[in-house]
Amino acid sequence: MDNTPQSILSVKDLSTSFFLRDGEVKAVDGISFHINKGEVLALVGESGSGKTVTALSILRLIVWPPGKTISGSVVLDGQNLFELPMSEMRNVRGSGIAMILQEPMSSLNPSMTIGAQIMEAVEINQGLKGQEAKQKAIEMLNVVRIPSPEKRFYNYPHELSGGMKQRIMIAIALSCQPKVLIADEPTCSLDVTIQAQVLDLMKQLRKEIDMTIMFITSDLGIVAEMADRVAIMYAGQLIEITDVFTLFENPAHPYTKGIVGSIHDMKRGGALNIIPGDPPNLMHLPSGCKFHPRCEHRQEICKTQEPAYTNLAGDGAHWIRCHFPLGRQQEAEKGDQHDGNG
Amino acid sequence: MANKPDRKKRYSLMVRFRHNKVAFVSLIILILIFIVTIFAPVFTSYSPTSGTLSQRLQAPSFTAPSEGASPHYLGTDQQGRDVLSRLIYGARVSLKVGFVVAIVGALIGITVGMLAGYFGGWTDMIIMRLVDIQASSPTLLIALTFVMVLGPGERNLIIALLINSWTLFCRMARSQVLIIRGSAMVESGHAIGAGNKRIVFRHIMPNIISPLITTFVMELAHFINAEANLSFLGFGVQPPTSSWGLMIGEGRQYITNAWWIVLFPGIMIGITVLCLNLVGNWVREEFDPLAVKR
Amino acid sequence: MGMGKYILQRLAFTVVVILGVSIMIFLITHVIGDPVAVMLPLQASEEQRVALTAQLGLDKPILEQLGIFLSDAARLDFGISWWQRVPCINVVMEKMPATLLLVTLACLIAVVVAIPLGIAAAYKPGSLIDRLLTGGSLLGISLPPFWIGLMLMLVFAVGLGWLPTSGIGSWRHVVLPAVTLAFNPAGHLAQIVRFEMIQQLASNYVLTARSKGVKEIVILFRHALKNIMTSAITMLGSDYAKLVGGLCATVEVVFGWPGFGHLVTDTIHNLDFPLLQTEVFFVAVFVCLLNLLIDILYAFFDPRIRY
Repeated sequence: MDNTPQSILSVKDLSTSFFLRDGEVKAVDGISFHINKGEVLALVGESGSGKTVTALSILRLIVWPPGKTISGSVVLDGQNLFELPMSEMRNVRGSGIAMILQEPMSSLNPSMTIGAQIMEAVEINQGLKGQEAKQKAIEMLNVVRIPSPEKRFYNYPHELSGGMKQRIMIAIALSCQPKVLIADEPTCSLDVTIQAQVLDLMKQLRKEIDMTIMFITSDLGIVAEMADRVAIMYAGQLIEITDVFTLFENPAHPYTKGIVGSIHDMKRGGALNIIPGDPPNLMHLPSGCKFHPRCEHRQEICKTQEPAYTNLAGDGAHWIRCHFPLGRQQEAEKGDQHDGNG
Repeated sequence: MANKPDRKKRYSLMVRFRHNKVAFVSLIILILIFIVTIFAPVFTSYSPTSGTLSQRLQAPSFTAPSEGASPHYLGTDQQGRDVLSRLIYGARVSLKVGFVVAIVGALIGITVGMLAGYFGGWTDMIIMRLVDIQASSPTLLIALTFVMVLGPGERNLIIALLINSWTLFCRMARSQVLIIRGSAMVESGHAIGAGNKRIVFRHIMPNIISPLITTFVMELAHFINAEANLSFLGFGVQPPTSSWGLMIGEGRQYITNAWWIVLFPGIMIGITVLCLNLVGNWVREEFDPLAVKR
Repeated sequence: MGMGKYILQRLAFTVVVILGVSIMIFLITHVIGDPVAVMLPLQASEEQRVALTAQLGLDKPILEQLGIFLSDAARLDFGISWWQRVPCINVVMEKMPATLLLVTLACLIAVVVAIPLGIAAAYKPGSLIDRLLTGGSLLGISLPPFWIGLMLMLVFAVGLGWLPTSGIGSWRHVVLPAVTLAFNPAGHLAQIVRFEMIQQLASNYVLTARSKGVKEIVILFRHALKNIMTSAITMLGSDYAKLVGGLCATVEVVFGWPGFGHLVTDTIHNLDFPLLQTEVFFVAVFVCLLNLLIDILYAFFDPRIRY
């Protein structure tokens, strides 16, 4: 029930808030999902929906003040990360779970060579030192297709283009040889060819070493190409999780339907369809269902009562947070509600 | 562009101020000092400049009983003058010098800075070179040179300090003008040229208030310190007038048996400058859009 | 633009500044002041005034005087001190080392105290150590240094008798003045280190480093510290220059330290014009060269500046 045999990462009831001067921002509000080994889970949502905060919360990278993970558990390979002392958590970071952060422009130390920054990942996570570590780092630069890696090793971040910096971020994450890779918009500033190469690389890794990937993106083309399962986030909550085919062919949540649009309109690089209205202000969330102000199918209950996280398909594969899932029975099974598995 | 009409509403301003207890308390202390200084005769009946020699070097009344009409709360100095009295009247001098230098410096600096920022080109370049040279020069030494040439005394001290006081205000005013110029040009190309006066009063002035207050308060603290330094060395205010720095300078030789002559003026300088710094810091944090909050 | 060109540019600016300062001093002393009146007693006759004016070369046109002054200065000839009757430059050179020693020590103390405390305060903002640091640094900046010196002297020299009250000679003599002088730069440094560190710790590259599993102490000292060095150096360098440039004077006077600052105060008491001119010139040169050094150090610490 909780952890199916192949589940490698299991998140339950995770909530992270930011306590600002003007109020509390519930960036992540009680989300639950799991990823199976070797699987690619895409985490999709508008900006501000909580995707990055989710990833940071998993790695316990949320800094207090002003942010705090206030509840939940994250189980990696049977171990609850939130119960670990910080020193052991640091061991998990990198070799357990590695993250490709979102903003390559500012995510590299400006006064360290990029080679040194990759080497650091190698030294800490692969246990190599000196020349061996350096060799690995250069190898990594090759893997992400950086030309003249021996020379580039000594470059500083400001000497490289945005696309190259992004590839360095990928190299750093891969150098950690993680069990689970969290990729936060890893291809957003890359041109199409490089993007294709990077995605191919990830697919290769998945095949060769059974790498598990949590792919944060808002590019549905990438979702279609890479993902096995997809989780949709809205206003800090998970509103739908299902396999990729169901997502595109028969989504249950009106929001999902809205952003996916017509399957025929899809191409790589396709942004999410625009739904009229704005995402809610996380400090003043609407009552009831967070999406109801923008939903064409809303009814009275949607305004007042928050829909429970329910299991549609009965086998734990399709979870939804909606009172009236599209094309499904009204009031889906209450028996499997809010179980913590998606 | 820094346009915060809502923040400048008096109500929210006072609320914010009260939230930052430290700055608020500092301001209260400063106001108290100010009041006591202005209404000096109310608070002390002793003369700050003439004393009774028979009562010299008496300890503060809380450590030992004292003679005289009313207790010498902080003791007497080497000429029998009441220390508290000298402290209060000394505040007048120290604060006066600080204020005059800061105000005149502000007037000159802001004018020059606005000219530089507004006209640009050669005017700007020359003025900024002057500012750079001034900033790179040993300010204390130049002040001392003035003192040597003109002779010591309060008036000359003010002149000496004035030389250095305009540069910071100049830089601040100039950068404000440049910010406004930049954004005004972007917003509406025809704004420049048409109605210069309007631009100055509507745009530049309001935005200059907060950095102006910050700079003014900080400079005030700086000049009070500078006056203390120079008076301590004997180059500033001359006896028998008292200023805090001078009291310390004069009391130096009696430190072993009459520590109170030196202790209290120093504490006063410290408190005043500290409170000014705290208030100035708060103003900057609250209103300067470029300052990074924690 | 390579390093070479950068240095040349800065040198050129330095020359301009020194020129500017020299001219300023010259104008102040010769145009506003009246050396002749200062040197002669009040009852001096008109003939004596004229004679002295001619002797000092003050009857020549101002520009010519300025020219002579500048060309002499270029050859490091600043004339004879009126008060000490020896070449001015000798007087200055004799006293400089003592001040340099004192100020260098003070800044070292400041670095050793302020940087670790600033880092600790930035790491745990709002904690006790943070509040102590902020309060302490503010006090260090607000209290007048000569007063701090006197208080320290009262406690440690007079009260406890551990250290001498004044003079120079052994390591004991330098402790109190150096510690006193260190308060101000330590306060500035602590504040800037704390401020910059907080910013660095909130930046994305620290997040990246943490996500790799880098230990916190490594992040503080290997990653973040390097990025704040330029600000820290600027602050310290500026304070160093100001201290040598005269702010050490009051502390030197308090402790009877025979350095440059003490010399300046004596120069003024003795109304020694040429000596003061020399002193100002020296300080101007020193400050400019120091700034140049700082600019070069900048490039060392921030690779983005190396073109």
